[in-house]
Amino acid sequence: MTGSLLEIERLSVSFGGLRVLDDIDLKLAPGDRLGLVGESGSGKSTLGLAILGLLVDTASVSGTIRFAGAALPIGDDRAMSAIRGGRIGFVYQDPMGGFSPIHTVGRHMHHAIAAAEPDISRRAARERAAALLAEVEIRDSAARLDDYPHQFSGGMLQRIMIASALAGNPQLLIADEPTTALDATTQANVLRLLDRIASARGMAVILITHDLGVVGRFCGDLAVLYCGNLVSLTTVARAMANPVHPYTRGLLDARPRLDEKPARLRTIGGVLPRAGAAGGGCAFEPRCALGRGVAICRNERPLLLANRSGDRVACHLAGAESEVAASC
Amino acid sequence: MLNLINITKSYPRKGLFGRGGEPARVVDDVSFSLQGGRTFGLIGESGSGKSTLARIALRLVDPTSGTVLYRGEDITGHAPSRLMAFRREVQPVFQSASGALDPRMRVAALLEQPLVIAGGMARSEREDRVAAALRAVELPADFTTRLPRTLSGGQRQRIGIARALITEPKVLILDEPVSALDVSVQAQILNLLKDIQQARGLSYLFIGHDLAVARFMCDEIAVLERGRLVERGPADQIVGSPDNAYTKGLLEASRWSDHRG
Repeated sequence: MTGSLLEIERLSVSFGGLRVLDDIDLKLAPGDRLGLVGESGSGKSTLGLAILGLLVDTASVSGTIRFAGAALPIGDDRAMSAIRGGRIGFVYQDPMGGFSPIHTVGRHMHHAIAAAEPDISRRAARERAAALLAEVEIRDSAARLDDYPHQFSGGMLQRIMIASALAGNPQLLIADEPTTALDATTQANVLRLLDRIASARGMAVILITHDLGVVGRFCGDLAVLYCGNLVSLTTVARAMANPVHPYTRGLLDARPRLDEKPARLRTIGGVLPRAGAAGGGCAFEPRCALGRGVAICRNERPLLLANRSGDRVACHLAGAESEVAASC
Repeated sequence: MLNLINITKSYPRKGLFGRGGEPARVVDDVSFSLQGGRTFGLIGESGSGKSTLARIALRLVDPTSGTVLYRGEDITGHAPSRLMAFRREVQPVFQSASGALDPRMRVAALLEQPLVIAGGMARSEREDRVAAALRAVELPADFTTRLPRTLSGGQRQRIGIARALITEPKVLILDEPVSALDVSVQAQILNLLKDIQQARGLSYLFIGHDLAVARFMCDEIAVLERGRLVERGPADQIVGSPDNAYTKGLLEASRWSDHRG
C-alpha cells in the first residue's frame, strides 16, 4: 500500500450536514487488491462513488483524490466521465438492472467501447467487443453480441458487465458488491475470473462488500469502514488470522462456518448508528465487546495509528486485545 | 408435521405459435418430511426448484402430481375454504421482507392483518397478540406506529417473522430469510429464529443456498439440483463429507468464500 495509483487524502463527504465519510486516507499501488468492507450504511459505497465522481450534486466533498499522479477533476462532470469508463472501471451489484432489455449485448458493449475510444470504426468496435466477451469467457462471443440481456444468466451478465468495464483498459476497477446477488458457485466463478483478469492486466481492484468472506481469497489488503470512519487498514491475512480491531473481529465471528456448529452465532450487539450521530468518542463504543462503557472510548475519538506489524488501527484498546489473544 | 410425497411440478413450454413442447419439469419427484420441532433444509442454487417447493409446501401452488400431507391429512386437493386451519398453522417468511410489507401500513396494522382476515377476534385480543409478537422478535413495543421504510433491513425481517408468528403457527417455511442481509444482521436473525423455535417448539423448513448457514440452522439437509434431490442426510454429514458430486461442488464454492477455508 505504497500509493501512487490512487491517493485519497482527508476525504470527507456530507449530505445535508450529515457526515457519511469522515477524513478518509487511503492509498493504492498499481495492481493492488483492496477489500472495502462494512455494513449497510458504513459509507463504503459512497467512497466508491466519490472516487468515480458519481456523488449527487447535493453532496459536499472535501479533501483530494489523486489518480495516477493527478488530482481527479471531481465536480467537472465531463472530465470525470472521460476517466470513468476509461482508466477507472466500475462494476456493480445488479447485473439485470445494468442492461437495457431492448438493446443487444453488442450495442451495450459498443456504447462502452465508443465512450473510451470515440473515433473507433464500427467494425473494429465489434471485434473488440467480441474479444472482451471472450476475455470474460463467454463462449461463441462474436455470435452472442447479437443476443439480448434476457438470453444470458445472471452470472453471465455479471461477466458481461465486467467486460464492458474493461473497455477503456482501466488501471483501477471498482467492484461494488459484484457477486452479492449470485449463487455461491457463480460467485466463486466470477471472483476467480476477476482474479485472473486483474492479474493478467495488472489492474488494481477495489472490492466493496459487506461479506469479509468474499475478500478472503481475492484481496491483499483490507479496509474496514464503520460509520464513515476508516477503523482498520491491514493485510487480509493478518485480519483473518488475528483481527486487531474489535469490529473486524465481530464481523468475522458473526459468519456461520462450514467446519463447526455452535449453539449460537456470535453477534455484534445493537445497530449501526445513523451517519453523523456519533458523539466525541469512538463510534463503535456502544456496540463494542471490549470498549463499551470504557471512559476513553466514550470520550475520545481514536486515531488511525500504525502498530508494530505496520497495520493501521483506530482503537484505544486494540493493543490490549492482542495481548489477550496472545495469552489464550 | 408436513410431508411432501413424490412431488412433481411442470409448466407447459409455450412455443411461438402456442405449440407446446415437452413440459419443463421444475420439480421432479421430490419427497421429504418435516418432523415436529426440527429444521429441514432444502439447499440449492437459483433454478433448483427450491422456491417452487416452498410454494407447494405452503399450498400456494398446486403440484402437477404428488401429495402434500399436513399432520397426516392429505390436503393436496383441498379448496381454499378447507385450508383455513392449515394457513394459520403453516406460515411463510420470505427473503425480502420489504417486498412483503405494504409500505403504507404501520407495523401494528401489518402485524394484525392476518388476524383481521381470519376474523372472529376481539380488538383487544389482537392488540395483545401484536404486542406478544413484537416481544418475540425483540423489538420495542412502540414499533407499532412505525412505517416499514423507517426500519432497517434487519428490523424489517423481524417484522416479517413477527407477522408469521401472529397466528401462532406450528410450522414456518423460511424461504431465504437472511440472504438479503448483512453478515452481522444475518447472525442476529439466525439466532432469533433458533430461540423462537426452542421457545415455541416450531418446525422449520429452511430454504437457502449457503451451506454454512444451513449447517448452523438445520438438523437435516437435502440438496436440490435442477428440480431433483441429489443428496440428503444429517446436516453435519452433508456439509462435512458429502458423497454427491454436485454437493461437493457447492461445498467447494462455499469454501472459496469462507474466510478461513
